[in-house]
This record gives sequence, C-alpha cells and structure tokens, in this order.
Amino acid sequence: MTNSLSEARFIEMAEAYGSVIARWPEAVRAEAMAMARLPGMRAVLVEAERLDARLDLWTVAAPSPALRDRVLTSRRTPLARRARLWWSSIGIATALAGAAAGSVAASAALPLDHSVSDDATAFGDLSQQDS
Amino acid sequence: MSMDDPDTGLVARIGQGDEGATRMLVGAKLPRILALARRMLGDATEAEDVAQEAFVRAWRQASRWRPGAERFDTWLHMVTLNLCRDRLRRRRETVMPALPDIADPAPPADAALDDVARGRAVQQAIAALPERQREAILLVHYQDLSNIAAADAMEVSVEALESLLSRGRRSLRATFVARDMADD
Repeated sequence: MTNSLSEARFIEMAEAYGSVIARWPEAVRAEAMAMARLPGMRAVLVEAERLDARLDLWTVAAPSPALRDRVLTSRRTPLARRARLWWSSIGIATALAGAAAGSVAASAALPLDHSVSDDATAFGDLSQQDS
Repeated sequence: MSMDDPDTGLVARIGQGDEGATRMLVGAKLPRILALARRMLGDATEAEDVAQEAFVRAWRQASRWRPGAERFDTWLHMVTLNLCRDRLRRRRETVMPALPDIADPAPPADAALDDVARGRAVQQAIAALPERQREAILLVHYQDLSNIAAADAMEVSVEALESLLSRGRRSLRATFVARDMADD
C-alpha cells in the first residue's frame, strides 16, 4: 500500500469530516482505516467523535403521514389540474362567446387532446391561439 | 457518475407514471429532504412546504431526467437547498427572526427533556454559524452526502467544502466547550 495519507492529512480529514471514516473521501478511506489503529490517530478520532456525538443530539421529527400523502398527491395533481384548467377555460370561453354562440361554439372549440401546455391560462392555452 | 446513481431506474419509472416507484422514492427521500429543510429553516411548517415543493419539481423533472454528471439525490438536495435559501433570504428581507424556535410535536417524557434541551443547544450553535459552514455541516454530517455530492449540491469545490467543514466544526467545538464551562 502506498502511504499517501500523512498524519497531518489524517488530522485534517478528521477535523473536516469527523470520526466516521465512511464519510471521508473515498480515495483515502482504506488507508485511513489502517492508520486509525495508531494510538495518536486513534486519539484524533476520539476527539472528533465527541463532537459528532454532540451534533447527533439534534434530531428532527419524521414526516407525518399527512405530509407523505400530500407529496404523493402532488404527483397526481398535474393531470387533475390540467383537467380543471381545461374545463374552466371552456366555461369562460362560453361566457365570452355570449348567448348567440353559446355552447355550440364552446363544443366546437373542444381540443381533441385534453392536455394543456405550460402556457395555459384561465382564458385558454395562449400558445395555441391564432394571432 | 450516472452509472453509479442508484436512483436512475426509479426516476425513469416515475417519469413513465409508475405509482409504485413514486411511493418508493417518497419513502426513501422524503425523510431526508424534510430533515434538511427542517434544519435549514428551523420551522416545521415551512420545512414541509419546501419538501413538498422539492418533490413537485422532482415530478416535473422525472420524465426528462437524463443521467448525467450528478446523481438524482444530489440534484434533489440542491433544489431543497435553493428553496431554503430563498426562504431565508425573504425572511431576512422582512426582518423576521432568523430561526424561530418551534418545538417538534409530541413533547418528550421528562427523562428525555435534558437531551431535548441539549439538542436545541446544538441547533442554536449551528444556526449561529455562517450560512455556508452551516450548509456544509448539514449536508455531510446530517444528510450523509459524500464530499463530492455535498460540494456539487453547494456548487463549490471539494477543497472549499473541506475548508467550510473544518471551520464550522472548529467553531462548534469552541461553542460547546464554552457552554460546558459555563454550565459547570
């Protein structure tokens, strides 16, 4: 094994990444594990471990089932939102068309593809409108 | 590298509308992403909002995700970090307290109160660090990101990350020593 990890570098690693060698850069881990058996380096890790243990006292709550559900629902929302946007744009278009055109005009405007692009507004899909 | 990204297949399935894959990703990533947001913001409600927004962006990204230089997990951390930074910036602009001290729900039993108080002291010490040092410690110590992933998420070099970590840990050690001496 080449000895590329000096004791000074070992100390720097412990000061930066702490006592858990699995968190150290992959390239030096094997060598660090071997060096960790040296009494001087062992003391460095013990010192770093004291700080790690202190940091571990700060725990946070796990996600609630309600949040988990909201996140999962957000995956499905885009489709539902598209449908709502589509219907609301048709409704507004119908109102604007007035009694004369009424629902006939609206149904004629039905797109074959119900998807709405990112340019969709309450007044329809701007990217699809003729100028 | 993408070849090593364990999430590539899962993300591809999500992009194809696979609900099972979606559940798996949420199960695996939500606790970590929420924890990062919670520790960045110090506010449970805001952290939930950020976590939810990060996943909305993940859903948008899933169908067009192309394995590249960074892992999906790193990308998700980067998104979360940026969302938190935006909130902290807005908070500073509206002169709100930097980190509201809101306890997590379900108060602990008496025996655990001491640990909770010491945990809160850790939270305060980390909150007092300069922003980049705080982020580095959150990503490496609490999120368990590798040095390369943490540096990518923060958009800094590995050397810069190491320097931030060293300075942050040194500062925390000094804070805790001073606190322990004051308590004795």
